[in-house]
Amino acid sequence: MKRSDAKAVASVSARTVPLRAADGRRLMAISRDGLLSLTLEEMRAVQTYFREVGRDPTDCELETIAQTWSEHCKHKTLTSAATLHWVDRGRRRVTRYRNVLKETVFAATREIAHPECLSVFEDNAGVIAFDDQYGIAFKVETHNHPSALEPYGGAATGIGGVIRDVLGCGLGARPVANTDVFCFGPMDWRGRVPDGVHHPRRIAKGVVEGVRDYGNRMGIPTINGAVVFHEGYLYNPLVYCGCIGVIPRNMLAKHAAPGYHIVCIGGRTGRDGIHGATFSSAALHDDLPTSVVQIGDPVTEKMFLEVLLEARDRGLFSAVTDCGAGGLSSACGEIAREHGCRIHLDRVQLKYSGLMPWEIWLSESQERMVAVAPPDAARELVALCAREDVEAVVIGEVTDTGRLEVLYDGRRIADVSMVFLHEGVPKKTLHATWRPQPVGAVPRARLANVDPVRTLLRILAHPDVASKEWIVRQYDHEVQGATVLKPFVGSHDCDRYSPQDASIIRPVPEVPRLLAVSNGINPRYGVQDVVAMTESVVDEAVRGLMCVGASFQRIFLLDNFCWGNTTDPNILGGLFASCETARRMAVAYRTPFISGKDSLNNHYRLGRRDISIPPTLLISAIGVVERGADVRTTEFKSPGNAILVLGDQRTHLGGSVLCSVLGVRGARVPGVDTALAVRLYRCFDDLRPYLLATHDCSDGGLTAAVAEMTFGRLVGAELTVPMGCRDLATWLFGETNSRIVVEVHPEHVPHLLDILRHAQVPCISVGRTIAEPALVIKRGVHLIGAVSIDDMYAAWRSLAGFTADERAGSAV
Amino acid sequence: MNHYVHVFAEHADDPGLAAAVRLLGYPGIRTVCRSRIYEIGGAVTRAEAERLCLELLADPVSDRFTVNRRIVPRGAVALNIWYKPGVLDVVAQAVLKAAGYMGMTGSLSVRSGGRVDISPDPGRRAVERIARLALMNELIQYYETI
Repeated sequence: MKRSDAKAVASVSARTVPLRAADGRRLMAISRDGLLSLTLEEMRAVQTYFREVGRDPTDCELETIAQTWSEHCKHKTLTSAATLHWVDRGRRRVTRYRNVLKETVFAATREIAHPECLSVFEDNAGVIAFDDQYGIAFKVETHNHPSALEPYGGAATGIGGVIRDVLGCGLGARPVANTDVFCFGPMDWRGRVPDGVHHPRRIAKGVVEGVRDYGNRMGIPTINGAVVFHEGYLYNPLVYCGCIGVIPRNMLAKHAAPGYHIVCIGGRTGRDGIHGATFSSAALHDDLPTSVVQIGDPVTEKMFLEVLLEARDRGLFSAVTDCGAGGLSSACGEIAREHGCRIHLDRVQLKYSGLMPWEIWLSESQERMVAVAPPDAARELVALCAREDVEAVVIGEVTDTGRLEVLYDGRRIADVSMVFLHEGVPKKTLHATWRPQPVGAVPRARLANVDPVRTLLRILAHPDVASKEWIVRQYDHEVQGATVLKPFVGSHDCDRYSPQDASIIRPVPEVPRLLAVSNGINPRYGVQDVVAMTESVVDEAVRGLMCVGASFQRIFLLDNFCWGNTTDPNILGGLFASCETARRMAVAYRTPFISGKDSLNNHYRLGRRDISIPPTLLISAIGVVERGADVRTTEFKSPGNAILVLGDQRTHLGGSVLCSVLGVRGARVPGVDTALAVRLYRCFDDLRPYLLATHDCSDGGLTAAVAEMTFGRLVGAELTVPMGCRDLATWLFGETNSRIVVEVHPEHVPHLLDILRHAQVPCISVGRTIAEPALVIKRGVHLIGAVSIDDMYAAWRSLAGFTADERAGSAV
Repeated sequence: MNHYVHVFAEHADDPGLAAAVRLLGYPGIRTVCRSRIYEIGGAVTRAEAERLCLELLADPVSDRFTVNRRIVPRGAVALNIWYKPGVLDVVAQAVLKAAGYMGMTGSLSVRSGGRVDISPDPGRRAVERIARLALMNELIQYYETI
């Protein structure tokens, strides 16, 4: 790399593409060769537009349209008109949509009309009210395809991108926490890995380090997340990156007007990441160009983060957005959407010379933001940036023409109507079908002789249950000094930790109110029953928040759908059925969706086979915890207390970790009894004063949850299986939703039972905490198993597939 | 002239990486060491390259460095791993900027990379496979043996 003031090649202007005269085949060839990912119908719409305009488009114009109309940016599949033939809770139905997303996820939020939703589904992030002065912005995005190709760079730019989304929310929110959720193939995969695909261990290592390095260097704590493993992610890992920010409530509105300047701030522009938006919408194969990979630079981003927030507080700009997918083409198109703009590409600062105008326009070079400011303010903004060693340059102005005009050295490169650009994409009409898979029979014989202790140890060591401490501790949980509840809590004298159900921060130092973050994800359920999976992950995220102390009335959700080959009507049907189910759950819980994203077409063509990922919906949730006194942790506090289990007592084996460990297919995947769940969560405020420890039951069922609760303070537990229990394995390890294990002082038990009876919430007593550092399982008075906490802890920390050396070697 | 700079820590071996390499099917591998390399070119003298090392590229307490020495421990094989042309080299950008602050304002070029020393040398074909599967991403990097 040479230091010089690089300029692009000035002699080349935009290339004209002979579109108007092209026939169907030629149109598709143009789309393919240009990596535009546009369908024939879309190409025809573009052709019609330019026939009306009376000239052929330039390559820049086609690229701009392709990026703006990409699946990634426009969510064409989820906003399509559709007909869904499906089976909804046993009944055959046909549901017709004019816009699936609007009539499912959005509709739930509209119906709930939660007074604390300040900005939902319109800006770069969703915003809720935190108190009178501040709002909380939250956004979760995926960066799947880039991470499959280049795990470190792809994951790093994923977190960099979502941080910029929060920074580009309103006039700028200050990032205060990150979240990350990863889905990888099995670490110990011994099968063949095709050329061009990295081994899951390699992907995992690169992704973990990429997100770590970027987040840590930005000084933003990564406080919550999950890592799940499944064969279905072998060729398509999933990387969900989230960011939470704080924003003054009076800085939510963006404003642009003709005559205002458009300023590009941050890093320079190069050839990296071109075609990122269209690429992310296409299936992976092994012949991809290097340029689609983006490389991140957290130091640059940290510098402009500080400048931007200072400039915001001084009123130096009136609108800002991040330069993400589609680069300047998307950012300028969005920010000047209502008025029009004129951009001079020759003013854009470049990393090196030799870029063609369309490359500058489309580059997804990271760490850039686009701001709009009145001319005087723009000058001050540029000066402020220069003082702080951040590059900023005025690249254009907002006009009143309603057109997106792009010039290079005075030559017109693109000139497209904003209305056509943003609303001209032809609406898709899709047909989808879905029915649940037949519920298999549970192989009773396999379950009959399950040894409780050996099985528990195998479950604790299962990748979905096992501690991810060695991953989690690479992320700084503490920077900014506002983390109240961290992922692991234990007492120092016993050097053990219990995992927590959610994390808590204090986002505004002067305000005692807290914010909790949790998530729900379950591909094992998704593979068997998409509807039950959706119900489960919504409940998982919500109950995690409830366990740590959130207020049920102040919980807000984000959806992130990662799906396989949605050109298959059955897979598409599963997606729509999931949207419907998400709507139903949100309305039942009155927890609105405030933001969401989707990543479709996560599939891999292996020869003649097309391998899709398991349907994976990630629900991220934030909840307000009114007081520090409400916070509860999972570890048992002292011996001699009662262990109760509240909530839904029906357990199932479908998709359970037990079945995964035994290598059998369970029957029904647990769903959610929403009426019961709501009754449980509504009475939680009354229960909380009596709860010493709370932990939700999820993977591995009741016994895994109790085991985890013994770690933090080395307080043991004695579980008593009822004498009449016929199915020991299901009682111990069956999974369900809306079920919470609590530790209660014996004196308070009657009062607790009163509250629960009154609220009509089932509750069973399963045992008590004991001084012995062990888990003892009895049936009546007979001992049927006992295991030391040390042995359980060792099993829990022995994530299959990683050697001790590898676990040690990854620490920085 | 291009100066080859090698910066390495006192204990550069990476047991995690060694374990990963062994798992690929090379149980005889004893150690794998990782260190940093830079290529500094343009109108820069050797003395200036050394100054960059002393003041910028190498930590005075924990690192050592060599300039224009290509020493490979006996029995081992050493690889230089560089980015392919066109791939953004963030570290090099930072070095260029810092060199400017240090008063080195002449025309300067920098690229950064990683060096891996594997002991014992498992042979050319094994090295190629190990590099491809564990040391670099072929999409954006390439290697050369020293």
